[in-house]
Amino acid sequence: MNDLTLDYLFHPQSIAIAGVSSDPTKWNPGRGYMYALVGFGFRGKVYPVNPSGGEIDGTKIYASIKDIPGSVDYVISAIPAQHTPQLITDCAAKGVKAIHFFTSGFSEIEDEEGEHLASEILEVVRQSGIRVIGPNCMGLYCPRTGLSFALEFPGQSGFPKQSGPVGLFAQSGGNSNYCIREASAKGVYFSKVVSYGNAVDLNESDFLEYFAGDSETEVIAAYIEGVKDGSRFARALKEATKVKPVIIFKVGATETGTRAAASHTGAVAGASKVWESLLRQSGAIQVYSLEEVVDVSLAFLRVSLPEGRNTAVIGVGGGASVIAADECSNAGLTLPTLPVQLRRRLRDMYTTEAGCIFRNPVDMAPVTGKKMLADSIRAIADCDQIDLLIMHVAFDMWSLIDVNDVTAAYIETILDLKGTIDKPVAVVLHFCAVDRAKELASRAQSRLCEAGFAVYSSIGRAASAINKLIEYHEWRQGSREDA
Amino acid sequence: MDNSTLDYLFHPRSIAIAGVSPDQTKFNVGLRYMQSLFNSGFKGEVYPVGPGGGEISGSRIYRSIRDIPDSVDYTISAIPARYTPHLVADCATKGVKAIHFFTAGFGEIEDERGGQLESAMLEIARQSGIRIIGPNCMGLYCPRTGLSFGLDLPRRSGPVGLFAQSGVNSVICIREATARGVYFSKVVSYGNAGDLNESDFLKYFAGDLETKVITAYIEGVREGSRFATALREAAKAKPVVVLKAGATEAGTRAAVSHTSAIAGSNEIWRNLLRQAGAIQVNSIEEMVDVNLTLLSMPLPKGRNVAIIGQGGGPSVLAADDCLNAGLAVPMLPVEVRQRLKDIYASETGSSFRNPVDLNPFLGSKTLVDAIRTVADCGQVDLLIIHVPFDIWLFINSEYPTGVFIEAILHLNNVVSKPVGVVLYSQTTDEARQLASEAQSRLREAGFAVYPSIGRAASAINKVIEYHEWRQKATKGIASG
Repeated sequence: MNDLTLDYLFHPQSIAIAGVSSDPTKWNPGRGYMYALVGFGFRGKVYPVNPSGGEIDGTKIYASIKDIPGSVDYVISAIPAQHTPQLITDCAAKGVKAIHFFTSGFSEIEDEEGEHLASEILEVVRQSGIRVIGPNCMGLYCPRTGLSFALEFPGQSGFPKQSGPVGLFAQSGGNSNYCIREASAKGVYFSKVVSYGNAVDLNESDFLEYFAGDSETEVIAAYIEGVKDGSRFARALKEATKVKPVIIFKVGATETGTRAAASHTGAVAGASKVWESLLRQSGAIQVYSLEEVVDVSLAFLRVSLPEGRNTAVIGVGGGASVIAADECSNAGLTLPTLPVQLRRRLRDMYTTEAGCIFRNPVDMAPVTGKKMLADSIRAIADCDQIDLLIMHVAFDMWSLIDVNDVTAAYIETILDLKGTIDKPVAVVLHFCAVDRAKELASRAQSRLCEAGFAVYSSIGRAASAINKLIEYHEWRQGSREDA
Repeated sequence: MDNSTLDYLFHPRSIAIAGVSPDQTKFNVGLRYMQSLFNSGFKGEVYPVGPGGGEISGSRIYRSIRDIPDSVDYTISAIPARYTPHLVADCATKGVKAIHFFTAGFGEIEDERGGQLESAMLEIARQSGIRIIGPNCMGLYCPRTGLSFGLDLPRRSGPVGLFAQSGVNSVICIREATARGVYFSKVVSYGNAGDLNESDFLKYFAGDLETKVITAYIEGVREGSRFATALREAAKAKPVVVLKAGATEAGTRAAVSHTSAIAGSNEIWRNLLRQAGAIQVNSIEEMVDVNLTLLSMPLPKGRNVAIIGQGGGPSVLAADDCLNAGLAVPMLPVEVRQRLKDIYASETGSSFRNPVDLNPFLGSKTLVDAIRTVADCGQVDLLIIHVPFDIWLFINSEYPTGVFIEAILHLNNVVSKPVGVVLYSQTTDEARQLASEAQSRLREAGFAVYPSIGRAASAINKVIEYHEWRQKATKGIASG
């Protein structure tokens, strides 16, 4: 059932939602999906379905898919598992192309009945040619065509309407949701996201192949608990990494995690060693947290490729600089000592070295004003021995001076530097645990993101993401030379 | 110059601040120290000193320490390095007991004159018996006696004694800790450690009744073997949490530029800390995590954790994180799973094996019943309850997370096993707001609250390790 062009999944003209209750006082996921689509701006038809019929907000609820007057491309199922075989039969009669099962209670639960239902579904689907996403998942998010699985209402933001170049397929619904939100906070947006759950039909290999060929996707990211078809996945991965970076967070890597993965999506997890070597050999980028999925995507989108690993770390605070140096080194970057002439130049600019460090990390006194900060950063960026700059601003370190007064000068300086430095730059906003610091950092992050900077929340995370960006390009170069 | 009773440092009756300017329009560190002492409620006399004299907020600025009419116990120096030998001489005349040098530009700079100046200044101090904190540091913070190096550091006292070589990092430690509900007995930022060094402060805190947990941020030590001895003794009396920075080559270079410290290799430090029974941490965040665990969580009998929370994906991550940190996640026995199934009527959308993924929509009472069922299981030593905020899609996360928080707050009287709470997955402003309110309530109720499962698990494992070491160490004494 290899299918390279799943593009139609993301372009349905009409969607039926099975399991919409007409009672607005009860929580009902079917209605949630309906509001999510309408609120997100989906332009096609949306048909609510429920055997008891009725109305919702003036829209007729159809008793069956078969009663819908127009054609139906795509169905979202939010009904109990035991009713799904009938739904599929109806969908087949109606000529539906794909069904997404939000419905859970299949092979992931400790009950043979669930397992049995899953294979029954698969059987009906195979006969009718309908493709299935899930079950036990959130389905599709595609800002360009108005597909979404998040509801916006007072007190909760929906998903961004802005499209971006990241294609994500994630086995867990909750985790894909967090990933989308964490990414958009950093200015990283998605072409398409698929939450695919138990993967009884369409699985990780299908989506990987699709994203590899999708012209709207430049970076592929995946959250995987286990794969259905190991050798097909390995092949698809080798092909995909040749054309674009593939970032993979493989979870359920420990023995207990494997058990949890089996309870969650019925996945076969595989040993962590096997995964590690598979990913390394195919040139995929392995990451170890949802945050890192976003960190590395951000590096690919907003940090131009450095010529090498020689990093200048610039910021304030002696102690913070010591920690910064350790973290960069541990991540695989190098911090060369700045040449003596450059150090002398910096010392001349600042007139003293007291309270500063000019060797690298560079620790700059905060009270010197924006111009001197900008000049010294430019001087460091001009140094031939430096390949990239990491600039860090710590918020919780100030005690004798108002945090806003000092950090604002740094943020403004960095914003002004935009376009004047031809080396790759990453910005780190860190140590913001106190409420006021949190607020200032969040505001600074929005402004820097909007200006196009890659913003990270710790030096270690920035350094590791950038090192992985470099490693991927080294691998790609190597594999090209081999070919 | 061994001095185990440095208690007088934290109880000065009068403080002179050298380097206060009458010009309020310019940033002036001396003045900020004065305001910090005032804001934190220091009750003794504060004397500003500046060569130009004048007045500041109605207080006379003395031209010299010697002009101050009364006695001076403690001096804060915020003047340029080149004037410090003279200041120390004046302090000697005046009978000052200790000087803290905020002043930088000594041994830590590339210009060798900095090092010469430091030696000269220290020599005068030594001859007159004045003890020195620093140079190149923030000095003392002691909420109980109103000492502070910040305009807005918390006035609340707590049981953690911290000595930190870096000034900035000691401020960061205090703030990160405050945000998590951890407070300090005393904090010393000691910079270049020209006189009083890490061993002095370690020994002081080991004997200090107000300190229950000792915490240190160290870039390098002055006296290696004295420190090793002091560490072994201290760890037997109370937990000692150590963040050793400057462990990589680049970090070492930064440490030398920063506090002219001799950093020592990674490997040596790891062995030293392990053998001495200290708890090594690798970041400021982890330092706070471990402090919090030591203070707010009873010691679990073993490493068998039940992970309880919401979300299938988050549960998979939780299991990996706990195992990687060294905890064990046993499968729950069939009877417990059956009881949970009875409570929830179905397993759809839940998982009862461990991690236990619980549906919040039946309300907090059901949740309390389920959690108690898990906690009562003989095979479980502790609970980690995790509440993700940004995973909700069709419902305001306030409702499901609220159900969890209410349930946890009800556990205090019904669950006898240690509980760690994780509030995480909070990237939107709304989620952060909710999580922050939840944290305040949970902290007030005495729960240890963490921002990630991995961090909770790792901190708990380190605390268990410490107690295992201590048990062995004290047995060794008993039998030998």
